[in-house]
Amino acid sequence: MKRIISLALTGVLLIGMVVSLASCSGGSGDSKLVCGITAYEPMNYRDGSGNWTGFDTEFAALVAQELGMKVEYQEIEWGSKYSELEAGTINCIWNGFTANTVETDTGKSRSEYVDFSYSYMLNQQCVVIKAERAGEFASAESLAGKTAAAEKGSAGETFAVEAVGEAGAVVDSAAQVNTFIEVKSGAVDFAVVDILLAKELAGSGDYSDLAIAGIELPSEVYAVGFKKGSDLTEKVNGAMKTLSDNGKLAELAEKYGLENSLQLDTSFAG
Amino acid sequence: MSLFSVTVQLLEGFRTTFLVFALTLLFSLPLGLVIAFGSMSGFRPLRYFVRVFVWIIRGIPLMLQIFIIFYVPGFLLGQPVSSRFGTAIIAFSINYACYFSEIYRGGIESVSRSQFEAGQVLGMTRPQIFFRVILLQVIKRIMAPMSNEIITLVKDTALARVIMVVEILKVAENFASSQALIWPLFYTGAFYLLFVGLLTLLFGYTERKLGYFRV
Repeated sequence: MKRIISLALTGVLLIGMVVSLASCSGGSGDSKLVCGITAYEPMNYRDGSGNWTGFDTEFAALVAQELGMKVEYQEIEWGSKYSELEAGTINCIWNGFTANTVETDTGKSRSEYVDFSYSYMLNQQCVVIKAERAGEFASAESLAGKTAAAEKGSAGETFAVEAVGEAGAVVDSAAQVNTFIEVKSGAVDFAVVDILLAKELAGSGDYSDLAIAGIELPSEVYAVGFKKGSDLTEKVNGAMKTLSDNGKLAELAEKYGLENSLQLDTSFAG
Repeated sequence: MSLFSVTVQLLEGFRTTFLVFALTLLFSLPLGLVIAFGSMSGFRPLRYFVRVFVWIIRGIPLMLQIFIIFYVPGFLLGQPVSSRFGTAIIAFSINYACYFSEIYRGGIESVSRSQFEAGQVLGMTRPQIFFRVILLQVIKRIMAPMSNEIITLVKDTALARVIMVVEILKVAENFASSQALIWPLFYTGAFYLLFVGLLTLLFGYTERKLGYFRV
């Protein structure tokens, strides 16, 4: 009896060690491009059969193909993006990543945390509200003192904190789309998200009672973020240039109706 | 999206929930016994070491433990963890083993001293006394607190999503983010309720089966 029990215990401990070893070894090798993403239409989202698709998804796949690398998409919590990058569990942030903004918590520019690729798309933040309250939200001033929702660590959060001022409050969400539920449920007055996302989702499905407010916000650009000093930045830049020159990038943008936003800026560096 | 296809996809997510639950139990139940013996050991340094370990694991949030196991290898050793699922299993197993160990310890110490002494008088060895006399009584006595912990574990599995182990709650959130469907999020409650209901019946059955131990 004693022997059986101790054998069983040893067995369990051994299995435990194997599991932990297996999960430590390997890691993300050089030949894999592991993109940290959140679900975000039309950049990265799941199609009917559960596979990742979207503009950024396909763009990353094309770049990886160009570089002879395998591409992987790893969903992350947006607030953990720098930790994931530092720990090496992803090796780029490729998810409609606004390059020319600051992090709300630290006030530091994002380029202090990551190396950016060329910027490739124009974007704008926008204010999402309940459609029935459109009259209340006519100007940026009307946002002061209200309660907002924005994705933790997003460009929208930075804007929201400024817009509501001292008297208001900003509620953090794990992903941009989660803010839609906050607005719909009435927990917050408005949400600040990327306009490309809002155009896809506000007014459709369960979000049919939401709308984009007529408030003009400053424009910004998307780029891919890499770990500081990574040699991937140069490689990906090269592949982006090739794909832009041979027209494949423009083709892809057209597929997702983004041809007006596409703009590869090879002079951009954070 | 019909009720049927949502249910199918949520079931897929629940498979991960169930795997986290079952593997955690598989590893933590025996590991807890090892830790319990350590914390009752007559060898002082071992006893203190184990008790400090239990203090640490019970003292910091499970979510933080998951983060530590997942990120620290990459930060300090430059060796990123490749399995998110494996990380979750390790973190959950260690955490629950510590809670179980205290329940085991309470159960073992609640068995009357005289039973150990009677065993010794009969010339039984310590392991013989433990496995033949004490253990089943302990199992009977700890059933209620153990079922509490095990039911808590069912719902704690939702924490695995902080490192993106896609369990049922995460699948439900995906409906909200990619298909503009909110109701699946609340529908997941039915899955948890059903599973915990089954467990409760199982615990009730086991307690009845162990009923003959009543002294």
